Amino acid sequence: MLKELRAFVGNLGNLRKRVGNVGNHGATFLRLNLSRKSEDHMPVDKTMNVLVVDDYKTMIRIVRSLLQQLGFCNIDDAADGATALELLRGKTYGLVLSDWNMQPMSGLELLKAVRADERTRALPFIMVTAETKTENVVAARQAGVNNYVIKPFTLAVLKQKLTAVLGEL
Amino acid sequence: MSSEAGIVAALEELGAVRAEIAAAVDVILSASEEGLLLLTAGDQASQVLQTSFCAILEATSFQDITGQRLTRIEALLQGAAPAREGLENGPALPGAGLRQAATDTLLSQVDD
Repeated sequence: MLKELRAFVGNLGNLRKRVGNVGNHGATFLRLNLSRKSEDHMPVDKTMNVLVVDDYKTMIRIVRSLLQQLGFCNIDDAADGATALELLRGKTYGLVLSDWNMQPMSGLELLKAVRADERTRALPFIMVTAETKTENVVAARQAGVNNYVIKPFTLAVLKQKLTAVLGEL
Repeated sequence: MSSEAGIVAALEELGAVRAEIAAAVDVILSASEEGLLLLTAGDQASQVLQTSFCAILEATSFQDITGQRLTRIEALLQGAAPAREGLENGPALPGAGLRQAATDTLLSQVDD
């Protein structure tokens, strides 16, 4: 749904430009343009601030390096949900990748806090966790998670999930 | 050796295992991070090396999984049920738990 909306907004942007050039033929371009697929998608802004939350320094280093390989360059990190929430309140982020099993605030609690705050309600949030029970996935989804990555994971899986949430990388 | 002394000794061994894994993973990660920084965009050899370095990075995530298993073992040795709060179960045993594909399917079926 988010991808479709993003594509639609991108198409509207293109339409505005083209209508300016063709005057009365704008309606024709509307029909043609909306029938096109991915080529008009807005590119993902890889300069966005990304927050990686995990209580294992190793995982933070891994996720950071993999994100850098995908072109992301502004990456912050936090070792637990409470620290992450402080960072989120002080800076604008475009994406959160969070572990689940952390103290004193878990990833699920962080997700709920993010969704409860008007300023971060729509912030893309991906859970990256070893929690593989059905009840975990259901709870995360119901709390508003955008995607769910099972540890251990590969760069290909990470890229796939980022694409699903943000659009083509 | 009493069973209590045996448990203490086992916990010390597990602590040493944890520390040795962390030290080795730090070296492996540092080498991979440095290697990735030296790669040249577009170069074919660099692309192959990038794939290899990323595979190493991916593999080192074993420390997180084994670390959570060690924590569970330590709790069991101390006679306590592993700390579980809410939905925090930790990594499943091989064969149990959802894989990524099943997780994707489930996620698509649950309304947020």
